[in-house]
Amino acid sequence: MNVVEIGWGQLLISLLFILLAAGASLFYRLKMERDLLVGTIRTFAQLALVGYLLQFVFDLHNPWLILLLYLWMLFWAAHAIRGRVDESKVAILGPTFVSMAVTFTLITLFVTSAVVQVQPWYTPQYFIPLGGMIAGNAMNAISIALERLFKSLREQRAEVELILSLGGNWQESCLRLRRDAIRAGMIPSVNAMMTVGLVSLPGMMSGQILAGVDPAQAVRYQILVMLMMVGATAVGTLIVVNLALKRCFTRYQQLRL
Amino acid sequence: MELIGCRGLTLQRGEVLLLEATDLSIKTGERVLLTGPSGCGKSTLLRHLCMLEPGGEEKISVKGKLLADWAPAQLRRCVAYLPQTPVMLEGSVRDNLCLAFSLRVSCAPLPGDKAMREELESLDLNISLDTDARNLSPGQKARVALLQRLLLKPEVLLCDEPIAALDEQNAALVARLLERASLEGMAQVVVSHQPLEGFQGRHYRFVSNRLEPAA
Repeated sequence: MNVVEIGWGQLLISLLFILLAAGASLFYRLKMERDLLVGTIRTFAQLALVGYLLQFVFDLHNPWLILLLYLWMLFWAAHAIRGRVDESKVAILGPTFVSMAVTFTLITLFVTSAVVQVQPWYTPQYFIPLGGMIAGNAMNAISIALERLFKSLREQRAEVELILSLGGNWQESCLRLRRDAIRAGMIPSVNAMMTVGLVSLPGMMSGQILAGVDPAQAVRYQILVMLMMVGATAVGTLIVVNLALKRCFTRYQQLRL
Repeated sequence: MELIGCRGLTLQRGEVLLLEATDLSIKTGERVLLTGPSGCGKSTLLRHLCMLEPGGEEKISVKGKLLADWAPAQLRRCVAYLPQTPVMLEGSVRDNLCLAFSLRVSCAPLPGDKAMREELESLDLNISLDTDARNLSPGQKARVALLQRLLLKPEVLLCDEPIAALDEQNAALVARLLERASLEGMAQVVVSHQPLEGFQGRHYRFVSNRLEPAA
């Protein structure tokens, strides 16, 4: 099957969708015209830039450069997590980045080399999108888990300090809290496994089908992606929550928050 | 011989000074009452003495050893802290009374049901050990929380408003229980705005960031 290509000219026609939204905005005075304009321009610019970059990356044959690029992506994921969690008393950027870097690089490496078995393992067409999906999904999970963790540490301070004051260590003082935070982070990706295919067709699979890949093949890729994301989310959330939790306590087993 | 004391301890809340450099020394079995307006730092002082509040670990010593040199768990077994609002964890009264014995630091056996029931009765608590601890009244919680500490036989007990939530009769019971523990050799630092029945010991007041002996 041939892929029908879209040219820049055809894209201009799709600007009609924006005009439609802008018309609605004007009619109902939603005052979103400006955002629509900026958003449209950014979409064009950012994606064009990324396309150009990807072209460049796909020509790379140096595993170190590809790993470096992946670390760069993970750094921005960790940065976004810190921004969303917004915790001033505990530094989380460092531990988040380091644990994401180690675990997600290993997981992506495992997926490309052992599951997909692409030669060589760092082939950027596989490594970067697979790793990127892991990072994007885990970024949401980790922010949810950390937000929950800090919120419940503040709310249940009395319970935590009760156990500390009876001679418990920091792990004992927040067993429940930790479990709840990790669960909160994992629930979305587990739920996604429940509804995938029923409620929505995942973007990656749709993309492959549009690109002319045999649907059965696209489905197998999507299954791999779902499983991979659940595993990466679980491991990433677990490690980051533990590292962050440890930083909430002083060496004298005192709650810092 | 000093059991617990501080040298040059200052207290701050954010940038605000609560207590100027203060010395305090408490011997085995001694009782100290702290009073002062709310927000003056009484509770913060208690929290420092059991190392729950960060800071001051080099200024406070217990049994001649600075807090910084203690293992926190061991220290808190020796210096028990009863907060103003009693906290019950999910579970039965038995679970809550046994909580401290199930922690890693503990090497003592779990207290038996019979012993726990007797202790509850001595505090005029006629409740089953299986009662959900979170459904207790504030007054009952206060007594269960006190018992939770006393079962550990600490050498120092820091009490923050132990009778504030209790009616007259129960306040008298708790005061007697504290007195009995003190006679058995437990040092106590009590923050209270009400007079404690039968209290024998030193009394300090927080006055303009200083700890002054009260008459």
